[in-house]
Amino acid sequence: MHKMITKIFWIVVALLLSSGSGLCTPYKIYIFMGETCPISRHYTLTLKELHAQYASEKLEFTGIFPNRLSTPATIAAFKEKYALPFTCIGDATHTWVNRLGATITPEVVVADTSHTAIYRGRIDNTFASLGKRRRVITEHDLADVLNALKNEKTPAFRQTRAIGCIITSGQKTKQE
Amino acid sequence: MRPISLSILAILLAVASPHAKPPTFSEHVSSIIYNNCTSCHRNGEIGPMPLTNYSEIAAYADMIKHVTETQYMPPWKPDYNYSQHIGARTLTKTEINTIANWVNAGFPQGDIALEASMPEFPTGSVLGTPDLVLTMAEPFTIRGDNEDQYQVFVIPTHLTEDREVEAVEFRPGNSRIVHHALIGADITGTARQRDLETPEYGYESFGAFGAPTAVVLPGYTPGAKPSIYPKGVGHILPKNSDLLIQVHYAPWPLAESDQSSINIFFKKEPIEREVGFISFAPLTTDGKTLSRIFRVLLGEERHGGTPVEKIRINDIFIIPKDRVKTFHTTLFINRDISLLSIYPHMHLLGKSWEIYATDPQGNRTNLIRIEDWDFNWQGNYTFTQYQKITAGSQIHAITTYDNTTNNPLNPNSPPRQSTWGEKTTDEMLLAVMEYIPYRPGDENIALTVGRGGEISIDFNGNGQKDFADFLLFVQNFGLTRSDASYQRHFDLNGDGHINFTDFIIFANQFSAG
Repeated sequence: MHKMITKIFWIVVALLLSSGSGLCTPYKIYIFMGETCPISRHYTLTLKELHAQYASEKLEFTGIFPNRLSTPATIAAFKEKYALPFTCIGDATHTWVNRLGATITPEVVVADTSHTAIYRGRIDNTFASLGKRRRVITEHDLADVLNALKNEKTPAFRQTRAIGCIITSGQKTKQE
Repeated sequence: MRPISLSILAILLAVASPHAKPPTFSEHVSSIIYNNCTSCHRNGEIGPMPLTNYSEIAAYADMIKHVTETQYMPPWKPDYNYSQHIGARTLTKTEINTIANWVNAGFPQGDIALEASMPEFPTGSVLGTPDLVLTMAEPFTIRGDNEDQYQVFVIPTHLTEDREVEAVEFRPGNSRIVHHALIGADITGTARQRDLETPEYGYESFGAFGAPTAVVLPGYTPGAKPSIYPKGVGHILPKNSDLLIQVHYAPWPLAESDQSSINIFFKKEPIEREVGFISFAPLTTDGKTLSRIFRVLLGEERHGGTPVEKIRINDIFIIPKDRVKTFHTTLFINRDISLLSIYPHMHLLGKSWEIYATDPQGNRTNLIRIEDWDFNWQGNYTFTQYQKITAGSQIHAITTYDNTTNNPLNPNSPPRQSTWGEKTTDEMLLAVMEYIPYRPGDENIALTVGRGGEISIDFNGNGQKDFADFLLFVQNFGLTRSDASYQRHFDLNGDGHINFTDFIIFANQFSAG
């Protein structure tokens, strides 16, 4: 029942938003991150650079923190320590995780003006796998999407595999 | 016998029953995590996410399942089934399955009264009061640009005479960023001069110290315990020497600083056998060594000359672009020696190692195999007991390098030819082994972690090594650290698993009379 209400809520939100003027609604860049996830920490530098280069009224960055231990205080501390220049919100109940289909931190979802995902996955190919940090980055996936959007082009939906910390889902109550 | 058969029956029933209760955190998982992960995964240490209680561990449940199943964690690069080294950070199949079953069941907490107690993590030295403490003269601030940094610091020892070293303990100043450290000593002043030539404290050197070393001391990797040299065995730290520490700082997005120190413990009794070094090295085809560093590493200055008769490599040490290249290097040993440890070293193109010895009769001794070489997890691996290498033996190293685009760590894109050198883009082929001249009985001596002293198999304390001790050992065989009935003194090599390796040590001790 609760799930159904949540679903209806989001459908209503989506309808309300999409019924407004599409041109005024910015593209959203959602970045799922973990305060204690080392690859999330690693990407704070890249994200700051991408934000400086691409953020505008039409390209809006939001950090989402889905760890079940995330609190407004831990998120604020992370945002301050790594000087993140965009809004950061908590998602301990995984509303955003489920809505946008994120499974890893860090993982980005870029949504277009009708709130459909046009990109989901890694920021770039720095990590070939856990612990294997590429010395020469050869694929700049997120920058490519942002560059296309900046140039008024809408790329076709693409998905890549993000490398990082798996978002723990399906937790039960503490006492079994 | 009866209780044993009953417990086997109970295990079989538990495995066979589809209604078996899933493992709980308190009863089954907490001891695995606390004893294998938490020493690094707690605040202020290198492990990024703290794993110190149920909430923290449950929050990373799926990730913990993934990294243990893929054996990415705990980090231990050598193949544990190939050869045994002390301090192995490995989980058993049972432990890995327990974690997986617990996560699949929704990671229940269970009865908190059954939770394992947290081990005591030392805040100071794990060995006691050091005889000499050498600290970096000033804090060093990393660039904080997400790149690895390798900085050598030169610390004068001010020793007025040669001192015999029993143990060396590196104490990271900032455990979050210090990934590993190599330690050596320079008596030529070369390193001191290099430090003067750079504006910052210390100097950057990727491959090694960038200076000749009179002695190489045991280094540091997170989670490892410092090793103690056995009775009568140790290193000599020369008078007036400069201690060199090459610290690897992990990629980090902020400019944090570190001021690490080194505790040195001197021998209480005189050294009878000084530790020497032999090493694989890709000599040029005319048989000349590449630099003076190797003459020291090859042990020419100890025990009346090196036990290495000659070195042979099957090809010139050049790794062409777009090629996977394997070298076969052979050391010819001309007298009986006992090996203590091995330290393989290659750079970013490095892919795998296999090192083994063959004696004149064709018997083989496996020394180390690393299938997935990782420059950032290099380390000094001490054997669980001395490895006897007889005169006339050959030690073989098979090393493979991947200089294609399939190697994500390739420092060049597109790939470029690489050869020997100290830069990130250069390569190396080194496996430094600590050795001492062989003495009868060496093969019965276990090399333990920490200040453990002599190994005893007199488990029941009746003053004799007898059949009763054998029975006690057999009853405890197969237990691991996470089992409630595990007792440390049956785990003869201290690796957390009472297994076949311990049995070999037991058998040697038993037959030693």
